[in-house]
Amino acid sequence: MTYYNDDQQVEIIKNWCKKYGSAVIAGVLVGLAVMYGWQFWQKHQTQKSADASIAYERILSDVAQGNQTQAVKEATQLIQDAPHSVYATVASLMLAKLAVAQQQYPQAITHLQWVLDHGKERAYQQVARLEWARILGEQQQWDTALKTLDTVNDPAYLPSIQEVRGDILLAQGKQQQAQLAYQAALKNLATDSPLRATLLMKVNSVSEEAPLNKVKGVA
Amino acid sequence: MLQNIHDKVKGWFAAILLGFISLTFAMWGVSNYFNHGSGDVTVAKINGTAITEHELDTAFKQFQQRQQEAGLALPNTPEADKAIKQELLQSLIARRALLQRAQAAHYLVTPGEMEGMLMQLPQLQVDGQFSQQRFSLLLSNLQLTREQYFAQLHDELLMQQVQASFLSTAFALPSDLQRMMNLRDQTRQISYAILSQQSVRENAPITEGDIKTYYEKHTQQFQIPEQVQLAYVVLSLDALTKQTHVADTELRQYYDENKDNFFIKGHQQTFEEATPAIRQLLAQRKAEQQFAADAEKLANLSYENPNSLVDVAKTLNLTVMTTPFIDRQGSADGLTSNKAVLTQAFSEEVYTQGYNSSVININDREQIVIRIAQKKPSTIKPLSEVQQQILALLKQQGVQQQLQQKTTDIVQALNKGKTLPEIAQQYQLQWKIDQMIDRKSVLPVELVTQAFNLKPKGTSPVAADVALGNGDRAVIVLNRVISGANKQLSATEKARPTQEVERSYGLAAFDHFYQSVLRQAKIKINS
Repeated sequence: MTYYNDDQQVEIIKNWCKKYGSAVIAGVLVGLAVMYGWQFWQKHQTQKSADASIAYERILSDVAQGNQTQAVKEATQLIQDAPHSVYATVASLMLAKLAVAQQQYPQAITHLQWVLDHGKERAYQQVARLEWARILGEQQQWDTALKTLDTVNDPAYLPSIQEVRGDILLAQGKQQQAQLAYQAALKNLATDSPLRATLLMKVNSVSEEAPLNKVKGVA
Repeated sequence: MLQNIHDKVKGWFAAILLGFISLTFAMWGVSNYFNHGSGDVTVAKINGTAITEHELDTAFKQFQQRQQEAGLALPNTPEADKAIKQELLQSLIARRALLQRAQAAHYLVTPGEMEGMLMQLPQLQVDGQFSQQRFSLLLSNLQLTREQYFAQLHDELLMQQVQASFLSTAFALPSDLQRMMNLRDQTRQISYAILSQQSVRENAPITEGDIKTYYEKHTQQFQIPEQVQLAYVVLSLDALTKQTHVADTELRQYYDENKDNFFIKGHQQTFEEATPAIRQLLAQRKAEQQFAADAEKLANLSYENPNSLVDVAKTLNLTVMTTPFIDRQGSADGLTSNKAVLTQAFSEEVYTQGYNSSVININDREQIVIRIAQKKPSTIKPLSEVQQQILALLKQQGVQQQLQQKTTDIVQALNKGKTLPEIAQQYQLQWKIDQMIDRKSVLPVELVTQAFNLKPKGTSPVAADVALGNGDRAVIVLNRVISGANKQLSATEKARPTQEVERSYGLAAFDHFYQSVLRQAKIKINS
């Protein structure tokens, strides 16, 4: 062990300051800058999200009051102002819904395409794919509709994928295939799911074998 | 030269290190405020963040409170509590995972939204206005600080936003509506026969041995739950009013000071005329003061002497009374039908520890304190007492078994190609032939449900049996399924089915999102 007297200690501190002083000050400055920068960035992001959140709430109340034109205008504005916000993604889904209500299917698809290209949160992209497939089914573009269903790539969505598949096949008159799809949907659904009742109705209405044309008398 | 670089690097290293330390403080400093202090046990981890035992306990308490408010009896056994906690933990985990995902997506609850929500909560409204007092009461009921409550409210609103995003954007296409209407308006052509319980004979007689076996196998069914008798004291304003003595001098003084009050309809009442009213009024006033003072003593004394009600009764001149024996369900009326009383009676402090309860406000005029006078453990009814009951039950079971055997045989015979008349003859039954039914047909509900649950099979009829609510059974043969006709719907007719279809797609989308988040979350449960 080495012992230093007071003067020596002062000298050591002085030397240390000379050697590292500027680095320490620079370090503190960098630290402060990063800290304030971080806080500023956070604040800025929060403000942007808050604006988008409020804007989306306004859109919802427009829709609730039946003011579709205003809703479309505000949703379009929101997407333009904050395209990276999750609210823009939801606004785009809302625009698709409003277009569907007017039976403007190509326009609806444009909004769904936007969600696929720019949307935040993968769940909304899966929803957009499912909705796209349904719109194609509505337009009787069966094959494209079924192919679009295949692009939903999260196993958690299997019940809906299979149910929509069943609906499309049934619309084509393919009863047995539709039945298989409905059964697959049911198999993947949680036992306490609120969607079970409707799905069961479908499963129990479609023939497992050849369609019911003529009925053989039982008596 | 090398030394120089070395020094420089050291300098820069120190700078970066310091910068890093500042950053750490900037980010971690805030979150530290939210920790519930050290030493809190982690029960589960979701993507690295902990759910603590404290959180689980709080959720459990809130669950209990909701149950009580809804008037639902709690099982209150350690096993039941454990099972409930397991369930709650699962829902806390799911909730946490969803919240993390919502925050990652930068969903945001604005202060305005929080305030709006708080102001509108129906339980915080008095005469259509937000009540600060109600809010304080709610917080103390939930045992939450203001900050904790706001944090919960925030999370609640965040979840609502996420759910609403799926529900509000789901749409219904014309073909969706048509499909739903076709299913709903579906009709079916069926033939059916109902077989009554009387149509089968009893089986071989039921022996004492059968009864005993059943009794031993199902002891749980014959259990009488644990019971308690409560001791209690009542502090009653009405009783105090009756006991209060008002001196004649006081009556006279009041009369003299308030003579104007006794000038009624142009007539000045004499002191004698006014006495009953004054006596009533003064007694009431005195009693109210006494009630307030005694209420405080009641609370203090019953708390300070937790092992008896005798002292508090003596001091306040009350009588210790007892209730009849009750179980956790309480009684239909009287004191032991009161939910607050039952809750306290079976609480940890009162039931397990044997202490006095805290003061229970029965109403504005009555306060009580209870304790356990006697406990009766759970017992099992003796066989002799339930013999007849078991006998009836086994007879009924025998009949049901035979009836079921009969309908199963009929279904098999139908599947082998036997005709309806052949079956009618063999089993002595009557068919209702080729009936057209819809989902709302006025037939036994189990029959209609089963008829619509049968899956058509090509052109062949499908047979099945079903138990009816009254104990009879039915055999059904499904001949045809006829889809509801395509209808043109008016705009008003469309409104409701449209909403239903949208809701169903919206719920589906949210449900899948929820399942997906759970699948992807890294969940670790410490058992």
